[in-house]
Amino acid sequence: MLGLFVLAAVLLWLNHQTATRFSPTISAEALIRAAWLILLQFMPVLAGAFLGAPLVARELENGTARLAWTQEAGRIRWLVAEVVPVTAVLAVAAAAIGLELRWLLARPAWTGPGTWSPARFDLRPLPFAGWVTLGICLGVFLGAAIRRTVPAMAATLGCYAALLYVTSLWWRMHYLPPLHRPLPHVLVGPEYSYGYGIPLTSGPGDYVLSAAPGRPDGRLLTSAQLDHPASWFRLHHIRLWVTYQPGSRFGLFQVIEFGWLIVLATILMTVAAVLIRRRAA
Amino acid sequence: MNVIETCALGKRYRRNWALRDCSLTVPAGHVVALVGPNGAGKTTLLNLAAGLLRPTRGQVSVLGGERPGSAAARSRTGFVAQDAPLYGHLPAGDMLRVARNLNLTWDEDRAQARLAELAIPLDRKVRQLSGGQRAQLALTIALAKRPEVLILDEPLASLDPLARHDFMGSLMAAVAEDSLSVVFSSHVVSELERIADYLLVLNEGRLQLAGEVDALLDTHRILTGPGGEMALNLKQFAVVQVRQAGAQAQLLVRTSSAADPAPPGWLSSPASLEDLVLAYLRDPKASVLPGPEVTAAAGGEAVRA
Repeated sequence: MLGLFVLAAVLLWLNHQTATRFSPTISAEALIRAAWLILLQFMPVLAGAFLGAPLVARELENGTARLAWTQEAGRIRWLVAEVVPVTAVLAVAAAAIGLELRWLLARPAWTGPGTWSPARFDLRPLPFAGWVTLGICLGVFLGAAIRRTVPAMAATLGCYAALLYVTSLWWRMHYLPPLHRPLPHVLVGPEYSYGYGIPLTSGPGDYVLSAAPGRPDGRLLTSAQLDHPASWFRLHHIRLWVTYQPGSRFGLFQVIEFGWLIVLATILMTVAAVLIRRRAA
Repeated sequence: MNVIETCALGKRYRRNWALRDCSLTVPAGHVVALVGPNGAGKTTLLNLAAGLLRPTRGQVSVLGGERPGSAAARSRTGFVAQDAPLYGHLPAGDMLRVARNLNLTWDEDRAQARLAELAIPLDRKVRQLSGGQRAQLALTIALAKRPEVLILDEPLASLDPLARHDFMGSLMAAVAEDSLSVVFSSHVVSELERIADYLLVLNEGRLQLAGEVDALLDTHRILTGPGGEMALNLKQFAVVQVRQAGAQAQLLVRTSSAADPAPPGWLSSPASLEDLVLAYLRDPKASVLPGPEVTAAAGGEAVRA
């Protein structure tokens, strides 16, 4: 795990060096960059499976819990001493990597999917620190509940993957109700080709959830109405209604994600503490 | 003060009762041997006393009424679990440091002196130490917190005879040095007399025998005499065990005092602790427990011809 962080740091430094030089061609460098972005995505779940899950489960399996839990400090102090320093160090490291990435991903060589994209959103400093914290706490909780190292590691991988999947594909874009806005229509061709342009913005930009033609009062067209000729569209002042999250919410959404991740991690640790207090060694 | 006190204590794992209806008091100042075959409930009883398990039924308290596992009980109890679990990947010195950090009361000088005396290399990983050295390290850690009672679960099981001798030697030295009570479990019944002065026998989850070793030896005799009609002659004794060898019978009996005369035609000889323990273990129904009612009730059961 430590090795992984060292590797990440070395790669970061290398990328920092190369990022200042602009090279538009797809090179081995670009592949390495892509590969290590993926590697970074796995860091929280690896921390959970290899640090969090064995923390309690291995002690129960080896019987060393019977040594640790009968000392004067007791089970809860022992748990806090085991979990808190590791989690704090890794969360701070994750935030630092996230800060470096924020700089790095703004370089020309790194242009890729937009800032809202799932692969980049959770590498921002706050969400990244949050996911690392949650990964470890999820592992500790599952280790305390399952009491076997390998099944707990597998369960951590599974639960983390499911949670990340659901969050990044469905939930994240609905932290706040999305906004609706009609776009001015642009005629681009003869009678039947009637186009709409979505303006490109710089910076985080808006995240468009969906876009559909509708009347000026916001009612969307039915599929039958879509077959009308362009003149009908013009006559009824049909607009393109865009459902989107504005770019101004980008920072707020990171805070929201960090917030719920930390709350969930705290709940998991509390339940783990209760399990450890109650259960036999 | 009683180091361990239980009342109708029972522990069930799923459907099986590992320990049932166990009421006992172990007074302070003894070296107590908890004896029984494998699966008798020894580990369950000791883990209950160490606060690692919660009873299914009944109560258990340690050190004069403390709840096992409470902060007060933990600081006054030294516990070495079965197989002396330690962090195998740590060097012995680091293992000691971890244990020091987990305790407020800690006698570092004594722990270091003990390890030096035993010539245990502090820089060697725990898993590379011999079984005897590991057991000694676990004992050192348990003693360094200066406990009032030391609970050891099968401390001798994995040791060779020499290491066993050394381990018991250092345990006895520690007992002599501090006013320390010791409760240890063992399925080895030989040599118990040299070590223990109080005996608990557990069998099939029930307490079978409890008392000071001297008192138990005083009230048990081996009678050797003619087989056959002995049941007629020996009504005055509680017979624990009968062994027939040809025309001769050997009986282990319980008497009210050591002075009881042997019946005519019978030869009376003292029982060793090993004889006594084995005899009780062979007959799980026989029991001798302190307290007049219990003894009277169990006495009737113990008579078997």
